[in-house]
Amino acid sequence: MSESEPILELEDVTIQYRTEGGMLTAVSDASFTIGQGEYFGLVGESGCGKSTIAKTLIGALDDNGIIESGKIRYKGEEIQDYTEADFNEELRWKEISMIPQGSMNNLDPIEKISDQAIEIAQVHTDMTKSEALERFEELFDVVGIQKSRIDDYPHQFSGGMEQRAIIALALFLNPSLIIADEPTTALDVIMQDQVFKYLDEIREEGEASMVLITHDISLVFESCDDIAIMHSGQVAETGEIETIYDNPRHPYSFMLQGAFPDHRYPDRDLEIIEGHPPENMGEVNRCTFVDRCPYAVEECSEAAPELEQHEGSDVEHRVACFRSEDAHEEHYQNKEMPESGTAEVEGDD
Amino acid sequence: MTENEPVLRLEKLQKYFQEESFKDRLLGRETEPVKAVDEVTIDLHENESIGVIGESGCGKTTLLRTLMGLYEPTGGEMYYNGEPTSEFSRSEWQEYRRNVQIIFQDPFNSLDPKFTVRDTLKEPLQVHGLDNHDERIHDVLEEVQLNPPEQYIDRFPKQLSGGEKQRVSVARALILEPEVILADEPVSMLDVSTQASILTLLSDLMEERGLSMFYISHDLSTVSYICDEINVMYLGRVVERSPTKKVLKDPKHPYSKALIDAIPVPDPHYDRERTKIEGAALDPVDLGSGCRFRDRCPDRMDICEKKPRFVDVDGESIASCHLYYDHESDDTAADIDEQRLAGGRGSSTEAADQVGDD
Amino acid sequence: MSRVRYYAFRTVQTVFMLWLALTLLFFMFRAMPGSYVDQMLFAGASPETAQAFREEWGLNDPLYVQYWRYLVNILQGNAGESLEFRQPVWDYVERKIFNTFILVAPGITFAYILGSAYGLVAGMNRGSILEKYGIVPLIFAGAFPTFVTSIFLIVIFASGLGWFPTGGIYSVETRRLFAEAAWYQPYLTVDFLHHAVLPFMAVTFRYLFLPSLIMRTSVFEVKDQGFTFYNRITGLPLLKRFRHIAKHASLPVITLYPVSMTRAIGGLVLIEIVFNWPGIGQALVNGISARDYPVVQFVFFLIAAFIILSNYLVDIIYGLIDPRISVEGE
Repeated sequence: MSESEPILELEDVTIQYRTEGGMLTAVSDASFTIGQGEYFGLVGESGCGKSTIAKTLIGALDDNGIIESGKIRYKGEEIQDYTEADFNEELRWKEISMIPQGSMNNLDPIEKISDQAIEIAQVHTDMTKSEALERFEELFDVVGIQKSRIDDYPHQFSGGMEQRAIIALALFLNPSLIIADEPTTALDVIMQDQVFKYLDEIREEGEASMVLITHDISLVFESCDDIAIMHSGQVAETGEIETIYDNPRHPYSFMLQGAFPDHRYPDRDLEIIEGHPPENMGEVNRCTFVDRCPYAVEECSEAAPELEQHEGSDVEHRVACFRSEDAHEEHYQNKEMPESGTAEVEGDD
Repeated sequence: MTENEPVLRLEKLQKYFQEESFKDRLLGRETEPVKAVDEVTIDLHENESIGVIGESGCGKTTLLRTLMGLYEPTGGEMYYNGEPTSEFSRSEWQEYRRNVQIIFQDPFNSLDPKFTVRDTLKEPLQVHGLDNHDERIHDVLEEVQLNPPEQYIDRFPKQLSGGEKQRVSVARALILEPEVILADEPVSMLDVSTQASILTLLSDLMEERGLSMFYISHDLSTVSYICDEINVMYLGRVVERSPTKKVLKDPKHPYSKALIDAIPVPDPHYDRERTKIEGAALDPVDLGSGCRFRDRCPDRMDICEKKPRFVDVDGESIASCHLYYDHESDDTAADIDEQRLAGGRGSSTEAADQVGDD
Repeated sequence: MSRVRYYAFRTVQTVFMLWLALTLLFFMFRAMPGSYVDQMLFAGASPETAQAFREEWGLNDPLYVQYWRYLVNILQGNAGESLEFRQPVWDYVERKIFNTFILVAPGITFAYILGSAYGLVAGMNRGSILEKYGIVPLIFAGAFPTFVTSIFLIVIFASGLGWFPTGGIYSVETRRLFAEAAWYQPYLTVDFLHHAVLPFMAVTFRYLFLPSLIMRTSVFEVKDQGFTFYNRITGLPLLKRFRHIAKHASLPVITLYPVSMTRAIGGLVLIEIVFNWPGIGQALVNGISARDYPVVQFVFFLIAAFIILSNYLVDIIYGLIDPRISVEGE
């Protein structure tokens, strides 16, 4: 757990979109903290709000989106009211960079990759063209692309290479926070591992923090220090990764873990979560998981549960659930399965 | 040797593409073709589910398209119920297409956005001249658990969730009562919580209807829920064939090992070592005649310049790798007949019985 | 096929089409009723004169002989002789080509630049009044028959306000002034510009809406592409992002530019007539009424050739501009 000042703090952030049907609430009272040099995993199914948060952190929320309430602090400075100009001058790329979803469509197809890098460098720094090229070539080395390809056009790269070029660009100006939104979705498992090898190295050097946004919880469990699990706009549980793994308190947390295959136990029945995450209009006054949760009680539809530190943990571990004390135990009684986090699962169902 | 003819048999199937660049023409160079699928031999029997696993560029998509009839094989042969497809007449292709159906990867793009669910399901019936539309549509929707069907019949794709769309795709594949389903990564674009339910659905349906399935994916973690046997493909060739659980626990080919070692484990206490493999797979052009994995293989030897034969490693797995045979005595011995572990059924006991057969 | 083979194929195709145009025109004109000789007779010439004329011009020879003669001549650069003016067709038509060109090229170019800029602004401001309704006046102007627009312009600005001359390419004084000078001198005078303004406006009005419409739609499409999001998050300033979008969006417009140019060459007939502008449109009309088919044939061929050649050029150039364009393999 890092002692230094956190690099990013979200405090009760609510983000909504103006739509024809009313105000669509994509993120509701979300809070979490990312420390310096930490890798933070933001996990959830599609529609949980994680991409909205990603865009908000770099000031690229859609035109119809607004930060309705809450505070976002970057290195102590509140940025939720920053304008486009503020983002350009203070934050973008020098401080906060992004690996957007669907990387293959991000590069300009009629510009050489080197030219795009040079342009970015010249906008934000006073590097000369050759300095910028040198730095970019270094990064190509880091991500494993041959330096000779630096003057290619994007369509000459394979999908995997393009993704790695985007990662190189994200590292280009030595940012303090990298937002990685599904950075390896289109990559094969071996390439994904290579990418994470580089990301591990960067983590070792302790220079950058990263928010890894993904629906693949295994990536987060392997590579991140902390995690926040989101469901339909709400943060269900957040905290240190091992604690959340060993002792998930929110039903969504432990059911989601159960839904993920683990190739070490190919016979294990996968958890099925009924239904799908709801869309929220207006203020959210309930737990959004209530219709899918087998452990819901009346309270759950009456008010949104607060994110509170779980008594049983002595590290950061916050849960937003009225049944955080006993839902987990009930679940394992029902399943007759050993608690998650321990080894071998016996037999099949 | 099993008594039934396999439903689908691929015999040294080849699909090569010729690509010439401007420079080549200028210099009058002969270019090597892209060998996307290079002598693949696989049998698919009734009620069997076979997985083809590999990274992008391994040829699995080309293989699928050839199975669909979109591509004509450059070499080798594909047999459907014993008949070679290269000699198919138009009506035989029609019959084939009715019996070999596909489920695509992208639920967002494989349904016509202007068609209701009913229209989507009606179309194949109309094309193949079947009647009794309403009843068939109703029944198949129930089968894929879109209940009550009435609620879904008039919806458009945009009114359905990803999982629901994929169920409609499955329904569409089933409505013609095919023998074989070709599944192209049917769950990779779905949320994890939905993946489990679609996989369960597919595996139940296969049992109930006695279907065979060809399952193409790059995701090894989900295949164990569907496939009996796995073929691992690399750059156009099958490098290993084993029963599913075996591949995951004890992969033989260095590539299979690398693949499985690279799968992230959802456990922060487990210290998995990152892959040692460098670079990416080459383009399947100009690869020479040796093992195609040799440039990245951690166990590479000199002999790997020669194309490795398929050998039975331990009665269950067969692999195409020089590590597994004795080169002194083996050059005269017969190959495991062109990659075919005779019968090819998933269970280990059957395979053990058949070793040595032709 | 590879790129070189494709270009070679296109070249052969182009040459073939040029030949085809020439041939078709030749035979079509011979097949039309009425000939120069008929006109002569109609105007009162005697049958003997007519016969002598026919002899002189080889009009009594079989058609295929005439055709071969024509083909051979053309390849040697001889486009025949004007029946009316007794002057080599090329000499007669040469200056007129230039006159048309000097009206069309600036006109279309300006229409495209102005139109694209308009379309760009409209496209970037989707939902605004400019975007939703701004195209209407342009379409209005473009939909009017060109002779109506031209007449309007003359009535309002020439006869009405007296700001501009009502027609012609330059005044009589200018012509007298430069009678002995080099051929291009009169074009450099203010007088010429003065005369050129109204016809230039007529051309522009006619062609403004097309690039605007295309550019606006193109901007919509481009804006949705991933790279615009990426440019924003990497912190590029608005002007730079604008430039990137413009570069992408202009690709379809660039393709259209030579197309409009060539259509205009042939389509200026009405403008030339109304403004009494001595270009090939005018030559064409006069030639037709006089049944002076060497001239007419050649001018039609010129127009066809222009279209064929510019399509060919666009094919080649576009492939060079957009690095993604490649020739279908296999």
